[in-house]
Amino acid sequence: MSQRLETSAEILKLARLVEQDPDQLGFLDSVSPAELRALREGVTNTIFDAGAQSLKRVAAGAKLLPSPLVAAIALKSFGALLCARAAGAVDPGKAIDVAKRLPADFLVDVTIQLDPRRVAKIIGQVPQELVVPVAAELGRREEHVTMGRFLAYVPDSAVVAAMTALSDEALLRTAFVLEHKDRLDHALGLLPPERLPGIFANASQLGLWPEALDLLEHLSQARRGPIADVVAEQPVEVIEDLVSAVSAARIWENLLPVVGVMSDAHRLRLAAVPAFHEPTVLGEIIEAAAVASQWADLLPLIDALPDEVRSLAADRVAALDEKAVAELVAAVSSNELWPRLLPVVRSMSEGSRTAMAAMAPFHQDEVLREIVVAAATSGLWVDLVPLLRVLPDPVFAKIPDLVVALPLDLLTALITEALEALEILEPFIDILNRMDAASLDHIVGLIDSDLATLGEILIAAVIERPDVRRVLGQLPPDVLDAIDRAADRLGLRADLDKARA
Amino acid sequence: MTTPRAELERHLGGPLSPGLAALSDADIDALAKAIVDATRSQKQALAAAIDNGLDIVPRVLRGAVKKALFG
Repeated sequence: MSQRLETSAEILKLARLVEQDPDQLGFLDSVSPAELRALREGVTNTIFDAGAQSLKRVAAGAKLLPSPLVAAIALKSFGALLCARAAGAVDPGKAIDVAKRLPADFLVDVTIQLDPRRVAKIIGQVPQELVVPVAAELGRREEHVTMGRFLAYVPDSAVVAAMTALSDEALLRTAFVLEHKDRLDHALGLLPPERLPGIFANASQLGLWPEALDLLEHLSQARRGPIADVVAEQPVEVIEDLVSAVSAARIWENLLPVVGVMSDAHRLRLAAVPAFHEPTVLGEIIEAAAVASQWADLLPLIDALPDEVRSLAADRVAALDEKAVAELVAAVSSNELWPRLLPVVRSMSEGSRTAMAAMAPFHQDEVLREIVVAAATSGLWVDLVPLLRVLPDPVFAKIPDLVVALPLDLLTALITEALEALEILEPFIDILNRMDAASLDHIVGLIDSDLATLGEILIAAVIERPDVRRVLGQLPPDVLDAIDRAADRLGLRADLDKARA
Repeated sequence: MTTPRAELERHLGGPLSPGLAALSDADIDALAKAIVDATRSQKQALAAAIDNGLDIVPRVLRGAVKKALFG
């Protein structure tokens, strides 16, 4: 859970405890959730410890009386507050037996006054037929904090029963303030499959996007993906509302993982919504990703943006300071995200790309090796070339050794792709021309090899592509000789010479 | 008289954590006041509940019963 939302949930709980409007405690938004929780628990202890010894005597007295009589006294005389305070000292079996004889309204009053931690054993045994009406009434009274604390101590079956009894709004609000949210994924998984998508489809209408995103964050990856797709399937105006809500609450760190887990098709749909194209919004998103190191979620979103907007976003990324770029490169490296980043770099303006290429994180030997391997593996030479063109010369000088070190299949793939267009072939020729003698010998050896298809590919290009033929003429002489030998071997020399003539 | 910071420390069982300590004096005052008011209000509500809880006991016995039950 993001710190911001977690603090916001803790403020709601503390405000409920001290009977204040949450807005009056808004000044606590800079305090960590753990600190607010510690304070809340301390205050709860102070309140509930008052008169604890005396209340134990009340509880002891209850044990001696028959349950119907205890229920009558509780309802007509003691009232909800006294019952709630004494409950912690009552035998759980007796407490349940008494509770069954009390009306739901009264039980709700008692529940509101309980400290669930002190009556966990009782709550854990409350039968479902009591949970449902109490949950429904708590929802109706908008006692979400009470419900959130209560549900932390009931078994799964009761959680499902309670959540089923709640409206979408009450469920979202309750889940937001739930104690021990690690149970959420499991509990929500027990709901009917159509319930969750319905809740998210309604989040905009309910004005509860922060709560909905918080809920999504607590779902497992497997459950989150399909729900994230539901978010992307909403009408444009709903997504516009989502963007507006997330921007206002500054909770991009909550939305980005949702975007990251969507299917590519759904992400494209979402990214096409104009609200994401606003420069201010793009700036907020990239800043949030940089602060929370959410590059793995951000890059797929940038990739999915329409071309012009992607360029704008890419320039924003390039404008980050070197520390942030170092984190970006580290995240891309550890998550093997070069196929995501290279197209972004390609989308940058020349100036931005040059500035980024001048940064030290891109000059590391291992990073350069990964980039070259990723380009060859994923057919990204076209995306890599713009970066290669602007690398400082001493850094570019490292590339030939990395290319020659590629396994034969990747080298073949790289050359095949480079032959597709002149603007990406020329840098490749440049790389070959900058290879040392040993590297060139290796390339020549591959072309000479019967096993390799490199020779065939190059010969075909010379024969069939006049434009490529001219550029290939700039190959190192040793390589041109190897192509000739391959043509002799393959019986294509006449065709090759004819094409050259 | 307990200062607002001391009031918060009492509930925390130790010194103020960094985030709380960084609050302005005005915010600390507001927070401590809200907590003091709430604990006082709860205390009064419990006392009233105890008194009401004895309504069914004959008036002459209430003192003894109250002492037996609530000390």
